[in-house]
Amino acid sequence: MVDLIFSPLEYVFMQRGMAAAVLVGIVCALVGTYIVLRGMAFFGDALAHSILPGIAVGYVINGGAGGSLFWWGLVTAVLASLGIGSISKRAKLSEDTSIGIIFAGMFALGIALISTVGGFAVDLAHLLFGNVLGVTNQDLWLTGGLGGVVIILIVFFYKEFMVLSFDPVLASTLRLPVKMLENMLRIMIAVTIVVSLQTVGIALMVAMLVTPAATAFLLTKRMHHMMLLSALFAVAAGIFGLYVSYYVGIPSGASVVLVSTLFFLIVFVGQSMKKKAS
Amino acid sequence: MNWISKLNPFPKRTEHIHDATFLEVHDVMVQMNDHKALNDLSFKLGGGEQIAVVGPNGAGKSTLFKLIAGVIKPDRGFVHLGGHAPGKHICIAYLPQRSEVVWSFPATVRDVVMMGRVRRLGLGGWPKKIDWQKAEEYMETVRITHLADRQISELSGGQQQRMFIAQALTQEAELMLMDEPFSGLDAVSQEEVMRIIGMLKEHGVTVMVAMHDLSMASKRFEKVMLLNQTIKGFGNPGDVFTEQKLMDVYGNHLHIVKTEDGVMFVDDACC
Repeated sequence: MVDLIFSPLEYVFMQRGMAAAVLVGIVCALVGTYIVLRGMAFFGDALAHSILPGIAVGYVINGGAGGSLFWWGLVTAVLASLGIGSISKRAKLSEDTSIGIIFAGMFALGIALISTVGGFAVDLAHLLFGNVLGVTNQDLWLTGGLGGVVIILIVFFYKEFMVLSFDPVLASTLRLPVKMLENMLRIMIAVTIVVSLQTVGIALMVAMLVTPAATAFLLTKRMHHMMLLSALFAVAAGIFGLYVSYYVGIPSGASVVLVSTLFFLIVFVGQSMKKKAS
Repeated sequence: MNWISKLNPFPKRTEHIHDATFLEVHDVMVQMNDHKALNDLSFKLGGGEQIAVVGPNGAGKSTLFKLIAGVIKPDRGFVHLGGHAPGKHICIAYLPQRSEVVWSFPATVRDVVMMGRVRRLGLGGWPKKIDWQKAEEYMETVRITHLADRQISELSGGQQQRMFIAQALTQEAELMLMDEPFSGLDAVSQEEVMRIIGMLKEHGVTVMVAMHDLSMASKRFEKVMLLNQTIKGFGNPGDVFTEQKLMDVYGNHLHIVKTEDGVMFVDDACC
């Protein structure tokens, strides 16, 4: 049994993978709390897809050399997140419609760009589904550094973001810098998505953002409890997920998300039964 | 330099100009989508006054409150509070309609009451002992201390309304804009909330209450405003709630019935 736990950790790639899964899990869980409370799941999903063209351009220009893709992705994500916000404000359309248009358009552009570059097939799969076992030391530093900044901002502006999430009108009458906070939140979501890309990939990103936070939401009645519990679920899902991936031989992103979803289902069923009983 | 003050997201609190009218709304027009939500609207209100704002659905009561709170800006005219635009003040509280609140939000009553304090704590600041004391004190004032650790959805409608009053007191609001605080409340809870509104007078708080119940407005408020895009009547209830003015605003759905207790308003649209 002990051997089952420790033998995978003898591989350096597994150690790095574990570290990445834990770091990414915590950052996603904290940012995810606001995404769940403010109903921004679709925004998060769309944003993850919107960075594909940026990464494709990065490939064309830098030939996919190491960390450069990361920065291409980051710039695209930040621009897309601010862009979605400003279009939905200006156009007469509802926000989810604007998001849908931009998201699909950007994703299509990304696929078109990638198809023009030969020998990209394998890497596209990595982008879509992630490959946490391919994480390099440089990736870990970037994830830790940028993820750390996001966590510090979330702690520092805890009460401002709480008011904004609970009641935007209250935030406005208290004269909080609403626009700045909104943009900061969007940028934090963008950064979180890019640092998580390697672990779960574009297609499953939204699960990392909402599932642990939603699970915690069912169990808590104060926001900081929700954040802590959400982080706990995310870390547990990351670690268990990687073991499942190792022993069953399924892609790491899928297995982390499956474990996370299982946690949610257990809590959901448990809560429903408790409600019926009472 | 002006741009430096713009960089600071928390400008200093604006003091009221001495002698200025507490609240002045002058020739305001607010455009919403393609129609005028408010038009040709002017009135003044002194500090410490309490006024009921009545009018049919869509009359612009919420719009008026959000305008005074500085959440939306007028397309014409101005709103001044103590001589300044409302956007510079932190002494205005807008108490939302209960139907617009996400009650499943993970917060306890104490958390929500403390939210009123956030602006005073400053950017990235944490509540100090005095802030917690204020929160406790005002929860006591509206008698919800025993509910402090409950999640907010566990409260009754009247208790939720009182929680928002405690939040506004914690904010040290000088003007409270209450958006239909009585809707959905039973008679006992309505009476309890009304009693606390009366108590706010002792705190020197100016109160505007949007409501539908004309009988309550005329019995419990010295001043009323009849609103329908513009002001159709303003002053004491006897002068404002006349058959002619009510007919003008509500059409012929509404009837005034004189009883031994005074005047009753009967709405035949509901039956």
